[in-house]
Amino acid sequence: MMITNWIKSYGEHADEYLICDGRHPLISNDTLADELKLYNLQYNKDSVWLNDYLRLTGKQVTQETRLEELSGGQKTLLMLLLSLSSPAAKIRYWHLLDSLDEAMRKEAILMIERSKATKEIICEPSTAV
Amino acid sequence: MSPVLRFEAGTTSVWKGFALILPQALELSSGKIYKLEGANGSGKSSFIKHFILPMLKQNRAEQYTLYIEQQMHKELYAIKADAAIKGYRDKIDSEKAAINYLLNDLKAALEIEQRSVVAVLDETSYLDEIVAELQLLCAELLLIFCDHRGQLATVQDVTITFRQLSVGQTEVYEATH
Repeated sequence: MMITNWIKSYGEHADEYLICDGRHPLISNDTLADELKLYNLQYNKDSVWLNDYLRLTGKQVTQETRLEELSGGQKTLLMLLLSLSSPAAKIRYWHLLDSLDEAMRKEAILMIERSKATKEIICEPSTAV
Repeated sequence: MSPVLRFEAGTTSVWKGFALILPQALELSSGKIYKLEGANGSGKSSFIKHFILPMLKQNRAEQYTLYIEQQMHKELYAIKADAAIKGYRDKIDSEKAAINYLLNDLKAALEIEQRSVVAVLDETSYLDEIVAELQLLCAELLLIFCDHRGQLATVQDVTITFRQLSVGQTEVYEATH
């Protein structure tokens, strides 16, 4: 039943992809340390994603940062950066741009285009990006 | 028409290291549509949670409130529970179904007792549809919304601007159209 719902929500072959849904971008709902585990990432203050996050949002996050303190758009950006930095080879984004302002949309699209060199990335709905 | 929500000028700390500054008092009046406009992280949702919703709770005997939360996956569980308690027949398995339930619930409440309605819509994909439905249902409506997708592009009466002075400070003020 759950698998049926999953496919209904995210389409055929959904289980082959890392699914990232902008309607609920973060899963753990506690600290950044917990969210990092989901992406198989270690916290490192020199990480590219961490510096990108600071550049885009002006916000310095640490392992102890409570995710509830991030705005909706900041959560979506965090999801994007963590997923692109993760080992996942195939990623499918849903409603990625919904909570992003115009400047952040452009940044998000740029980052996705760059990452397509090494990852298979699909954005849904297909007209969204 | 008398204002239904009034916020005094001043600085309010909403998170550790983040404050909203109202240089002037802000009044939101029934019968008008307000758009909260600002960049990601400028404090629009914080303004809703720390200013608007607490005041609406104080006035809950006087009006009905419809609040659609941004990224509403947690809210869905509360809505499902409410629907189950009230014996709602349709399955709530999506944001759209949840919104339909809330609108049906509001309609039923208005049929029992007419009141003014305050709707607070924080980044929903269904903004245009919800507003169209609300305008049919409600004789007296105060609508507040955030949207980065350009829905309802031309209908707001008033824009409330969120201008970031720094990462930790945002100024909030009214810019009338």
